[in-house]
Amino acid sequence: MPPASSRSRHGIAGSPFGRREVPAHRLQSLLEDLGPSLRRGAELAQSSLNESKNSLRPCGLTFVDTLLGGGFPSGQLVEITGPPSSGRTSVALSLLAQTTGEGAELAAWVDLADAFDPVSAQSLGANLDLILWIRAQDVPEALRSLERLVDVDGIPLVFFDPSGLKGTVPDSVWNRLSRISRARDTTLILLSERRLTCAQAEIVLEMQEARPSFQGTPPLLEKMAFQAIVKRKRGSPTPDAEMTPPPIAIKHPKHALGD
Amino acid sequence: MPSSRIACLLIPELPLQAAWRADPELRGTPLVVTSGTGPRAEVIALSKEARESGVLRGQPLTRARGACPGLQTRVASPALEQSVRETLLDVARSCSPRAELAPRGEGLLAAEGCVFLDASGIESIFHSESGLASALAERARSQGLHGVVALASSRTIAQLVARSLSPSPGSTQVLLPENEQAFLDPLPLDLLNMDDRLSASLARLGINTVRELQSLPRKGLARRLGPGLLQWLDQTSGNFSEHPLPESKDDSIQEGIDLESPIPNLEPLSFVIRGMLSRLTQRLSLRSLACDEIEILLCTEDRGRPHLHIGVAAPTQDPRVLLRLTVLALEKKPPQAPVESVAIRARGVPIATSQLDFFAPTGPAPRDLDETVAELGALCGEERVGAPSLIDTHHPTAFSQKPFKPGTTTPRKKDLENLVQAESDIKPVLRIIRPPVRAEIRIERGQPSFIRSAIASGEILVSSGPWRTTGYWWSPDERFAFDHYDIQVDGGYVIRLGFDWIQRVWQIDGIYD
Repeated sequence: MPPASSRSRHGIAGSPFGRREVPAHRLQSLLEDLGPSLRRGAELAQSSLNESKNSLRPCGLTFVDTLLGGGFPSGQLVEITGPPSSGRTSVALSLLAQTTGEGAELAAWVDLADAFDPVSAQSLGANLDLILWIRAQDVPEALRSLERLVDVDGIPLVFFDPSGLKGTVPDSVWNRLSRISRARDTTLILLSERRLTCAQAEIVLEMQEARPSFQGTPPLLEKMAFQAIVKRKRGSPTPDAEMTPPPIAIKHPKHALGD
Repeated sequence: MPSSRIACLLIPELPLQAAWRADPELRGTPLVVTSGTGPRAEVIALSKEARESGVLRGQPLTRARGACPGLQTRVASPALEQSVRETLLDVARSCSPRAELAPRGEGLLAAEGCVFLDASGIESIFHSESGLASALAERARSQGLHGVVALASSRTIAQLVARSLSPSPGSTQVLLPENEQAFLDPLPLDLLNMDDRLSASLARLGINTVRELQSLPRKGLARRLGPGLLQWLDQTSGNFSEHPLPESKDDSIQEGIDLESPIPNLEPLSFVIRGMLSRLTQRLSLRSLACDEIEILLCTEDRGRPHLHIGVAAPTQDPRVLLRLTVLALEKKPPQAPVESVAIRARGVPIATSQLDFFAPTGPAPRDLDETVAELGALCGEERVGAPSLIDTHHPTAFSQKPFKPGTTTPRKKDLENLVQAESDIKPVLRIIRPPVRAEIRIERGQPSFIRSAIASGEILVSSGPWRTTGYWWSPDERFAFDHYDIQVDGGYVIRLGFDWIQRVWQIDGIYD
């Protein structure tokens, strides 16, 4: 009879009280019988990774999706910051277009800045019928609207454009919104010139100054090169990943010279 | 021809039941309803517990308090009692389309609420007439009202029977025509709503029961005791032709309350409104209706009568949603003085149903979404909430919002052409500046070369344009003419600059972002 300490090494499936032992060959045959229904730890980790990838929302702009590891995470608060003309609206509208156009899901846009351009959104492929546009007039209205929208099941994407916001919003508000969006699996995107949140945002994507390219004679605005940096990514070892994509071409609207 | 059948739902001690309905916690306590607030106020209705403590109807409040130290008191509220009467009508209409409130009684009978409904032909829905009577009593109880139900061949007889049952709330009685006379004979004449003079004359003659009344010779009776007596004779014997009960198409429901002391703040007022909305939605639910619009009528201390209309985007029976909408509306337009009475009128509409799509992504429940949109509309203004829509115009900043009705949309498939174009074909993305910001521009060789504005100032590095847009030249009010330039300002801004030919000013219409 081996000592108790070594017994546990052999009798893996034995009772925790050490009264009964299962021989190793029987355990092996049991594992073979179970066969494909059993998964090893590594397989489980991989499937978990796949599931998390499924819950990403790609925006359709390859450089942003690559930078974020596949897209914007569902059920999280994400902040896109950057100065005017840096491309944050382009990224947001692309995500909006992917969600409402190809995904046919609902999205809401809380527009404190009153800057949403339906023509731009539609030109990127957004389905305007699926966008709930709230033109809030002040900060309390906007935040109350935001809280209500994030708390509704079935609106998976909510944008908040507070550009021009004066003063600061208390951290408790972002904590609350972040918690609700996680519970409801709603992605909440903040668009701002400077960072509004502290530790509440899962990702902070900072857009850098864009480089417009006027080409031809007379010169036409055709391309803008955007640059993005991940300033914060919760759980990421290298938060300051940076990527400069190829310039994005811009087509002019239907303005006709001398129309 | 089958004889008509009339059901009567009768609520005794209406002021007391109105107080219980508004504040259910008062049930089981010694409670009196008084005619006013002063020391001379009299008890006009009292609970069983108060009666057992020695309180009497008609007693001054001070003496009643002396008889029962723990006495709870409420002041009679005509608005609350009217709500109870209308609730009775709703209960009746939930069973039969033809229903009518009984005229108010006098004397001791003034404190009862009574409704008649046409029960002819509807007993099969409730399996029997007893089933109908039980359903009526149960539905009244669900609204916080404890009453009695009687079925007979006419309104007078049904009401008489109901009054005879009133000491035992919850009881029901179905009288077949052949049994009516036997039931009525021993009933006292006090149960009839006769005028005092006629009652006194009959009492003087020793006529106290229905049988004794009917045994009187008709000849000369009208001359000696008045023509009203003949009418009572006919009504109690069933020989009286009553007008048919009306069918109402009115789907509005009103709840009201007179406050014992004026309320100056919104928060305590919202507690009162919450109870009223709860009762209102219970009544709506009883009639299978949902609230489509609310009207709040307030009466303030300074004799003001402010009222608010609140549109409900999605008809609902949820009192929480209605409360949120009401509080938001009151926050935006608070009453200017303490509130003395509140009335809430709701317009009822049939409840809508919707079929969801199997192949569309799961969105919010239609009712949840509609309620959310309604709340946001109340919060931000209905004209500022909705789906963006494009207007068929060349005006650069024209936009509109339409009601948010997403319906069902199946996901769009990405076609190969779009895949090939990928990112190299992204259209311009603008942030519109509403309203446009004025700018000062220096022109060199026909192109803007320097800009000064609240948004961006500096040398213009590159300018592209002008792109001219005109429209509505035939309308002096709507005509527009712009020259637009896409400019890059030293400092990084890429701006859509416009020159308004009508006002002859430079302005920034948007920022490329």
